[in-house]
Amino acid sequence: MTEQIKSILSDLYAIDPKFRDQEQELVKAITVLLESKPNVAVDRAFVDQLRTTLLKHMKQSSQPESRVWPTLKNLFYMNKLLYAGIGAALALVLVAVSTPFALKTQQGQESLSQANQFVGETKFAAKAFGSLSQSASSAGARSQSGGGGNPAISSIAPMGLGAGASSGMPLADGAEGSFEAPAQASSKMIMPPYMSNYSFSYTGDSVELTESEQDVLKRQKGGNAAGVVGNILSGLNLGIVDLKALTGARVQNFTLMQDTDYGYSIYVDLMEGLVFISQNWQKWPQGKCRDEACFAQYRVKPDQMPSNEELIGSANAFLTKMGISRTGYGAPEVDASWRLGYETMQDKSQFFLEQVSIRYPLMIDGKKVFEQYGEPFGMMVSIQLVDKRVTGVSNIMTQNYARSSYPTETSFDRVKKIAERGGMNPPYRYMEAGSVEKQLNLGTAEQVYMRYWQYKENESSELLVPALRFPIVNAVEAGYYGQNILVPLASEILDEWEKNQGGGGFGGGSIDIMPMPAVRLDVPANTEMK
Amino acid sequence: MMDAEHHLHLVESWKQGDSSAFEELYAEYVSAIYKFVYYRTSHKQTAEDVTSEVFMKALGRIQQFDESKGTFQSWLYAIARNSVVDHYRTKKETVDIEEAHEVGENHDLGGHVDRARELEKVRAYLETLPEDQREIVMLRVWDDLSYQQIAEIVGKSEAACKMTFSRAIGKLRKEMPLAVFVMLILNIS
Repeated sequence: MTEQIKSILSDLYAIDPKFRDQEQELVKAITVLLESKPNVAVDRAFVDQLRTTLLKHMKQSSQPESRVWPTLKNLFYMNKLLYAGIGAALALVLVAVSTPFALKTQQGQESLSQANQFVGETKFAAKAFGSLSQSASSAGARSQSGGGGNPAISSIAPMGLGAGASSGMPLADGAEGSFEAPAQASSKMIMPPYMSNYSFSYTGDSVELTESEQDVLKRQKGGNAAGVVGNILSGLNLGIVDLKALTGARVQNFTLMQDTDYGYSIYVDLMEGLVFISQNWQKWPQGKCRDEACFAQYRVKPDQMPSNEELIGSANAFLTKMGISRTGYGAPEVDASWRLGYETMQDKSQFFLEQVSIRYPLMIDGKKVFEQYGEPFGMMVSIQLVDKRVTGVSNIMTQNYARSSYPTETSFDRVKKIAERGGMNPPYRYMEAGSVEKQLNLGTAEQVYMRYWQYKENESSELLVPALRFPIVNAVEAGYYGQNILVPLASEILDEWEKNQGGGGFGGGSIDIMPMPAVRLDVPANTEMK
Repeated sequence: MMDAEHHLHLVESWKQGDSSAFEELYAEYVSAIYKFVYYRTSHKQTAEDVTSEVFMKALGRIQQFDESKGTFQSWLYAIARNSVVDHYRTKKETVDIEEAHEVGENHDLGGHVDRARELEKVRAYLETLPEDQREIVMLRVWDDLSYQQIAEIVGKSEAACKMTFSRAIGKLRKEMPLAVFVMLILNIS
């Protein structure tokens, strides 16, 4: 008997105790009523669309504020921690300069809110973002892992910051995503070295590519936030330096540290429109661990993991508490990439986890966004498994895009051939004895967006390019770390790639790796490292 | 379900113009309100339109919400109930208002056609109930609301709602044919 039925019965008995005599029939009647309830679920796209509409309506009907503080509070929709940190740091500034800056922030606030409009209405002329060709850029392409043994890392945490991203790769001691080096690893836990050469075969359905031109999107980063905050701070005379002497100063980034138990560190990049939340290690118990027994308290075995519902519930609650909007993101999913490492471990009893990531996949025009190396892209929330506390959030970004149309490929065969080569960055091929040939099957392709970096005049731009995603359907069985092969549809990118084939450089064909003689490996399968 | 204090805090923040507070409340209630409307309209597009109306009205009237007169949840459901009635009033001039409380259909047959037919019979029996009884049964069993919330939504006392519910259940227990029960129980268990 469910709790709901018990509750309804309890109500009935309170009204008339004689109902107890009819309990069996009442249970049936209520059960039947519950079963007859229409099975309906609200359409997620409708929910997102309505939320956007309502928020716009709310914004239009609200009055502009003239105080300095709300300007900072509304940066990237994160108010609570930002309030605590910046409020304390700038208390003197606010007292000294609030009046003259009030007028400036009215103008600044419009540009801050524009930085969060999500997919903007701005449509530029065709090819407005310039050439998509890598050779036209001033620097090389962003390095890519190519799968096949190197795990994909989806966060773009700046150097030195503990952004909460799941690496998906068990460390030598089996700890997943741990940022502290644990004690020595037993040899039984290390993956046996073997070299796999992968070939790809498309086993999906044929796909029609009907559009000869599609939109490429360009993320409009931090808006005018850097200038507005710089404006506020530039009136400050610190005593040892007068910031008023710096005209036109912009605040590039800052870090807030929460000085409470289980406090967080927040890195805000105003220029890029990025925020990363991580643990302030000094305030977390693990930060004081000095021996294996202490670290072991924060580890769980795979069969002790909380359910996906519990993990997602914790992540949702944290984002809500922090005022981090989920607008524009799809349904959250638990990142199960740790499982590949677990399945390939010889001694599974030694495997443990400390944290896992929840991914909120970014959705644009109803399509998911992927990194070039095949990992889905989105906001990542890391959760400590032992107590389900959130340890970090990465890829909190302003979402404002401009569009421009570019010619795209309409021949599925051409795109499929590239996918069957392993994509534009195929995995290494080992030449030495002991290497194993494995076939990876590619499922039916679907159209998505691919993150693509354009480098021009020492500046990098983040573009979203239409692409086909080829899911690797037997990746786990074959011991392959990648989940997908992504092939962009922008004709310019494909043309350049084919032109470069066989000549190395960007997207060159498979590369044969010849090891140095001193580390030559002739390792039969299933042999432990001594 | 969020605790009462946090709930109140969110409503107050929303009144002050805090969009993140609104978003949190929206996330909490959108699915429940949609289902409430769908159970009474049986049509996805209509349910979406009316749900949109409900939240637009809530947005416009939030300053008038008075916590001393009832909970935010009941207030929102009352808007939804009235919106369903208004929908039928404006869309169908001659329709009986009671159609606004017709039970919804289950379009998700899932291949179990016989079972779906029997469930439709159950819904048909629900429609034989007087309108006030049917509404309270749906609010209690399908929308899973407490008597206090139901009372605030329908504008009656809690005791009256309990009595109405008990009469409705008693009537269903007596009048729903045994065959329907047996077939359904065999399928359910």
